[in-house]
Amino acid sequence: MEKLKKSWLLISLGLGGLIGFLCAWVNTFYMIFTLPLFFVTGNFNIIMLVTACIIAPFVEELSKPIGVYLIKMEEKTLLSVKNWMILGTFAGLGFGLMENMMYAFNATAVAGGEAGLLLLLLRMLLCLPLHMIATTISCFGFGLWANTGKIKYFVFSMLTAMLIHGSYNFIAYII
Amino acid sequence: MYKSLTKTLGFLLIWFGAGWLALPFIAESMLKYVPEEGSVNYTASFALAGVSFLLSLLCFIHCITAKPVKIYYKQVYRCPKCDSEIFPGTEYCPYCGSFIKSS
Repeated sequence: MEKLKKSWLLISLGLGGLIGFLCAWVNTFYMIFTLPLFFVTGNFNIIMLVTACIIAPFVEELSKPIGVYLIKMEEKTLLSVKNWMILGTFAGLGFGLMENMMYAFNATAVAGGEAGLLLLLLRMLLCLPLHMIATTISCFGFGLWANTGKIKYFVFSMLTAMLIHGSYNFIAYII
Repeated sequence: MYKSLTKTLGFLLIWFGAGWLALPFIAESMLKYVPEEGSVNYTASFALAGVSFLLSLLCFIHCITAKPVKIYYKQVYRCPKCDSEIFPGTEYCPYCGSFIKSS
């Protein structure tokens, strides 16, 4: 097994951040996929709910560990399951930090600096650990897959991460 | 192996629980910036904080008490020229095309 390099941590963090930047902007576009629901039900809230609880977790959880996929494919590295998991935690950290910054900037532009700071504080306490938890779990499964060759570990952990993310969004929506 | 996961999740869940505890207080301050009428649900936030702390505790208990799980690592064969992962017994590397001597 190889040792974890600092450059790999930076790749995971940076690419997680890049995906966070993109997701903060393109989340709205996911709604296009739920438009048929609006035509059937005539209820706009259902679009928000399906986007937040199903589409966003699916897209974000698959794309957050992009740096981890890259390290596996390009560096052809052999890491322990624990180290793959640490890379995943960093990917989630990068994603969460960037997404929080984007939302805080938007809130500042709309409602002023104090509202932006409050939103940033709230998201740092709630959304950041959530993203880290979800990506830690999915990359733990990725590590098991990389070391055992059994993809079922990755599929199961990815579905768990999506379920956790979707449940959180659902609770945040109804609370 | 699973201990490393539960240890990390334990710490992250404490952080998450602290977030749920802080939510109603921060949300109350934020309500003045929102044009619509809104209310803060203290009970739900505190209940979710409790669930997070409980899960965190369970993670730490697992981390302390669980026995290590043995995983069966797959045998990895690599091309000596390009270092790509290849199947055992392969004569020619599917990535770089180089001939691989059987040992």
